[in-house]
Amino acid sequence: MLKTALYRCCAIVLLLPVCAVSQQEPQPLPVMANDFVQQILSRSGSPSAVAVTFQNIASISQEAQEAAQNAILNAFRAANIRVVKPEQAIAEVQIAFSEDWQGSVWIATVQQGSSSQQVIRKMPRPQRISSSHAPTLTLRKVPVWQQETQILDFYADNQNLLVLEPSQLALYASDSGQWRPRQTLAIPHQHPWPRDLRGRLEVHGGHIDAFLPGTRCTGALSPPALDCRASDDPWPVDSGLVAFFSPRRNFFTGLIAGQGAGASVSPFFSGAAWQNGDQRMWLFTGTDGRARLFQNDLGSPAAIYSGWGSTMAAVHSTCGSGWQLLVSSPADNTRVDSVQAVEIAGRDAQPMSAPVEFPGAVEALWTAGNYSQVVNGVVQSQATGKYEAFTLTAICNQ
Amino acid sequence: MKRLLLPLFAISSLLLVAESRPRYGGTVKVLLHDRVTSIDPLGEEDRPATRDRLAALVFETLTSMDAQGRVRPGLASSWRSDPAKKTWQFRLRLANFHDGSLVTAAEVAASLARSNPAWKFSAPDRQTVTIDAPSPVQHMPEMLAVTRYSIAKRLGEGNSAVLAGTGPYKLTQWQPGERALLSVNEDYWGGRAFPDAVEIQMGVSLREQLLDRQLGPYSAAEVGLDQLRALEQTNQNLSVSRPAELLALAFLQSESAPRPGRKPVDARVREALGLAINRGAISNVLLQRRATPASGLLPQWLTGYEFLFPGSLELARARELRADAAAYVVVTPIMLAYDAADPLSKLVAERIALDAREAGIVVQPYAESHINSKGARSSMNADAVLLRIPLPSLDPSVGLASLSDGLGLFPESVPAILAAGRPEDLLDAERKLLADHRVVPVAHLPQAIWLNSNVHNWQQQMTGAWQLDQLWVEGAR
Amino acid sequence: MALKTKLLLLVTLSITASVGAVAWLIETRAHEAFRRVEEDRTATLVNQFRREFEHEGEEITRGVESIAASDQMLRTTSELSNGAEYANYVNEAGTYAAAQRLDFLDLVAPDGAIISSAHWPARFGYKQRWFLDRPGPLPERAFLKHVETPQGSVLAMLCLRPVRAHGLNYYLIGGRKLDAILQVLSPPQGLHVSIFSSPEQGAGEVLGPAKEDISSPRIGVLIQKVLADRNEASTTVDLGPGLTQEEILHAIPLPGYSDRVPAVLLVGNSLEQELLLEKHIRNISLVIAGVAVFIGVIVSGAVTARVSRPIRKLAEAATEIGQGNWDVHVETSGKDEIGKLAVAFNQMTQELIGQRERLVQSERVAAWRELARRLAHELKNPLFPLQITVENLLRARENTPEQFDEVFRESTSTLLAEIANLKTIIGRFSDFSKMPAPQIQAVDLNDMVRSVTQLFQGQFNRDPGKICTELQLGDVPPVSGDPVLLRRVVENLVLNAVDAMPKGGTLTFRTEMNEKFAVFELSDTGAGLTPEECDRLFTPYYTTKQHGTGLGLAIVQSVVSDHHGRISVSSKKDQGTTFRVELPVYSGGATVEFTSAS
Repeated sequence: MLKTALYRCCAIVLLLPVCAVSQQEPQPLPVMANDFVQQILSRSGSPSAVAVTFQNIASISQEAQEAAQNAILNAFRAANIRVVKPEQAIAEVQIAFSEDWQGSVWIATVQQGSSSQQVIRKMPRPQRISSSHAPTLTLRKVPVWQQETQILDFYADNQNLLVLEPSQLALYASDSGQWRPRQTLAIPHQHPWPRDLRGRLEVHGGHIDAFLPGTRCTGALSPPALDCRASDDPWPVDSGLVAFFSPRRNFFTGLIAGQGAGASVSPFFSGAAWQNGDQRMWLFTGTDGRARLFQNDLGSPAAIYSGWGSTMAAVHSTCGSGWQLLVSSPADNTRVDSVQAVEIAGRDAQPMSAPVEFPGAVEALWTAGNYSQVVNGVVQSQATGKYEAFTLTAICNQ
Repeated sequence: MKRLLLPLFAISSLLLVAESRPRYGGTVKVLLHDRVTSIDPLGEEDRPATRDRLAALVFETLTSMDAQGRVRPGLASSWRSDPAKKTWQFRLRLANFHDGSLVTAAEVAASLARSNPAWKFSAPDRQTVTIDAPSPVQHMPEMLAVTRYSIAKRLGEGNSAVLAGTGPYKLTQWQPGERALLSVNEDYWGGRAFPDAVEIQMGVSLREQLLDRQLGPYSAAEVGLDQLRALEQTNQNLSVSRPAELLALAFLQSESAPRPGRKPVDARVREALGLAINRGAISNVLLQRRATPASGLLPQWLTGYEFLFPGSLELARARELRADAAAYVVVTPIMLAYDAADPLSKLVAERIALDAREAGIVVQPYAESHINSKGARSSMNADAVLLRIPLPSLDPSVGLASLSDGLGLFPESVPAILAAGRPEDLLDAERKLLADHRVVPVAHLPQAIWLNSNVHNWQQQMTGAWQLDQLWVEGAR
Repeated sequence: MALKTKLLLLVTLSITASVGAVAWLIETRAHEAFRRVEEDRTATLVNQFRREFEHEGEEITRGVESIAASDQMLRTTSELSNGAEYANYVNEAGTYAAAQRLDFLDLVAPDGAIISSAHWPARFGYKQRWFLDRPGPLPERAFLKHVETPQGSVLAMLCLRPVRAHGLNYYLIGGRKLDAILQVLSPPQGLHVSIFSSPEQGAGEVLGPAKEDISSPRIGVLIQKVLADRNEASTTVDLGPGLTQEEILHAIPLPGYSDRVPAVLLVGNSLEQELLLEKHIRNISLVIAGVAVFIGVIVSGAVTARVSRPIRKLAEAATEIGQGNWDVHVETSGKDEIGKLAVAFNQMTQELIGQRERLVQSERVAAWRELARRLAHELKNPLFPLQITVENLLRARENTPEQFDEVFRESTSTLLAEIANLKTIIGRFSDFSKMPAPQIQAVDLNDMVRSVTQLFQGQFNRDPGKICTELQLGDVPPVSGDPVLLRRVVENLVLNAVDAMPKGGTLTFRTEMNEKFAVFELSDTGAGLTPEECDRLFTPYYTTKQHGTGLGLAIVQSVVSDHHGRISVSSKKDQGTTFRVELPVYSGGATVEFTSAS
């Protein structure tokens, strides 16, 4: 899947040449060392005997340095160059392990007589992988897709992957476990999209429904077709919850449609609706930073919570009361984001999982799956700037 | 039950009490220490870095560079070049200038031609701009992301000309050096920005406001490096960039380019001065470890090879060089001009004078205004100036070309820098710039900004440039 | 010089001298009084300075001690002694200095390295060992010392206090600029205080409101003397070109940290008031002298007038006599010397008048003699042929009666001719004695000149001695005169000129207007006349010619005079003679003055 992403990246390489350079993937150490030594030799005319000294001015550990040193020395030997003491050497090679903000920088200064030359090799830093444990339940994150262009929402089943982007709906088909581009369907629009563009994609029985601010598209999977028009039709928020979205902003106006039509709550970013026994529950993360809980009716909130993130979706699981809310952290997008499972018991909110850290801001969380057992999410990685589509499911610890 | 809620709120309070989804509206009030007299990206300005930050809100470039140093489409949606990297083609997206007119290739070519007369710009069709450079430009898209290449439409003629940009904010009020009011561009092609307006107050000394905690109504304020420690101790929200800005001594006269009136400082004395400066003391003590000692023009964190340039304190060698020079020429005191409006420059200039004294070199620091204006520098009575030159790009070659341009000493070096394809070539180019000691790097300085807790997504790039496309403020309705 | 003037001068001098003497006396006394006051004022101010100096020292000491004793400083030094990085404290001194209003504050490590400097933060890390290298205990009191700043050496009052932490001595050196004390002082008008700061290296400078030019050699010598001797001294200095810009400058050494004098207190006492008073006295003296002189002049004028009036009258009478007025008599009043002088003068005048009358008489006799001589000469000439002819007739009658008739005829014709000659001579004399009164009418001068030249044309063309004529006739209005008499004038002058040019020449007739008169000029190119000849030219019977009665020009002058005109002659020897006749312009029967405007 990652390779597919790279393919896609390279498809735009023609237009964005820098993309390929900055997205170098780390290579194994011996390969890098070999490359580096070859460059040194090509610059110094392959002397038969060299003296090599090392200097570490980077923040790498002693072990890592030793590993790199060994790899380089081995590479010299593999190229039939003798590594000798300085007095016996034809060329002296000083290798410095330096670093820049993107990764390691190996610099070799080759001294031959009075002339000296530099060979510089840059290597991207491997990304850190974080894991987390939760006390009651664990949130399992499954990456689905990543790309340069913004992802608003997506739909994935075994055969199809539909990615809703600001200007198109991209269709991918599964081919030997990899997603191959199938078709793109344009989403024309008259006005510029608002900042923090949001969108909603629903696929039911081959029928596509896409919602963007002020725009609604309908179409079919096969043959692929999409018809878009200016519309302020309400968006599906959650199962049984439909609400009007502000056509030039990034929030729901608070006017509820569908069940409970005519009711009005404070403007909100995300909403969730679920059944708790015989009680109908709603939760909205308001644009004023407060989350409001409604029980049975949308007249007045049963509880108000502060300090919640504004992106939220409900998930159905076999843990706890059976319904959890996955809530993003209140961090802004200059920091890494996290998602935590919270359960509403009575009127109180209890954290059910440890926060799952994401490499950037969580842009979207939408309840998906036939039984609301999955939450589709989108995160923009701070490190790569790419948008990543993922799914979250709750797995009980017991 | 409440007990159970505590951890959640604890997490919340750690990560700022706020909601992550941006909200529209409100005015972002920014306090700047510097005074910007013109927002024109091509104007000679005392505070080019600050001007560039403001200009980036009003004007756009064909490309942009994100916080990770990646080139992103800007006003151009795509681009390509010939294999020699001399001819580049940029395809424009549909966008409007603030006066409502459509952005055309001809308009863009005309704007770029003002930015760089050395290149040829043409518009084969309404949406394509072609750039022909006389020598290869390896990183043209990165280069065009620099504010200097902002696309602006000139409305009117001569001095009364008004510049119309395409950016997310329109300039609605401008009191040079005092105040600027930018209102949101509702029809911005990239979507309306979240705040309704950005209000900028210039020339404000932050010390008093900080001491009196009177920053409440403000969203952000530029912070001097000397104030950082005190602010950190009071747990203020600060954003500090990487040490990117170059603080360097530049000798205005050289043997190869003498100016009438003053004799150039002898090359040996220049080298001696470079060796006498205690960069460690300046960065670690005077600048409180916020800055890094500089031996090269580009910082170590950007290139990884700055350490190859010698920058250590060698007093004995400095005295030797000074004595050597004195045997051949009369060593006169070096008049060192520093920016009158910058207390940090004054502090560093005074330290340089003290350090130079140890090597037997007399340096007389004095304050000058308009030190960053190349025009003013040409008529200055100084032998050397202490300059702060911003790093405008995360791309090393673009950065080095801009620094070289900012120093105003080596105009001939820029094509070679832009043509450098490998880090080794760039290292060579930098080495050449430093070879005759006309530039003595002293330190690399970070940019710091204080942010109110109701401000979100104020991103500062590693270079200190602002990235405010997702900026929003709490409390707006 | 007149007697009166001499008298006045004497009076003025004696008054001025006495007023000057009084003024000098007052000035000297005032000067002494001022010097005493000046010394008192200086002493008071110096005492005030010393009090302020001590007070400032105590305040600085208090400030530095309170910093040294503060919890925060103790914490700082404790952290430092525990190995904390100096860098963290680099701005510490600035905060303390601001709180205690100190201009200077250094926090110094036990080895002398500056940890933090309020006035020169860049000096971090540099050593300051002057107090460590000095033997003996640290000074308790505040002292004067020069402090290094980025702007150079500054004179300061400093206090040094150690801060002890874990057996190590850190040091606080705090202080203020000395010029602050100067601002506190309130010297009375005319007095000012400044301090000469003498750093160990470099040139000294003056702090405070100094008016003196330190580079002037007098002040330089004074300061050097005080620095060397460490004793007070004073001098008078000029501050400018004005007289009132002088002052007395007292220089008092100020002790410092070491034996060296770091500064000199300069108290300048302006002499302006004193000099102004002196000037005032002088001005008043001048006014008094002026008034006295004025009164003296009036009084002495009146006195001397009485004395000098007879003398003046004598002088006036003498002047009149000199001008020809002989009818002068001087009053003789009194019997003093002046009265006697007047009598003598009158006698002398009478004598002179008598002499003059005698002279006139003798001149008249001489004139008659001359007339008789001329007449005799004129008459004698024709008489002689008469006598000869008659004798011839008698002789012919007696000797040759046959020829008598013939002789008789010839003789009678000769006799008749000579008698006619005699008649002519007598007629001329008669004419002169009886000139007719002119019959005035308008006469065109130019016409007359032309007519006369035509008449004489034959004579002009004689050979040899041809005379050329030149007419330069201007635009002349008719003159008032008798045409017959005026014509005679012109003819006489022409004849005269023709006689003057026996060898020929040029005769120039010229008419023109001057301011009032019509002018006729006749110039010849003859031998010219001597000045004596010119003087006597119009005297009757005077002639330079061998033949002539000497009456022609006398008649001319007479005619011109009768016409209210003027005649003059100018001549240069060998260059010719010019006669100039000015005649009034004719104006309707009456002779009026001609004006160019009419």
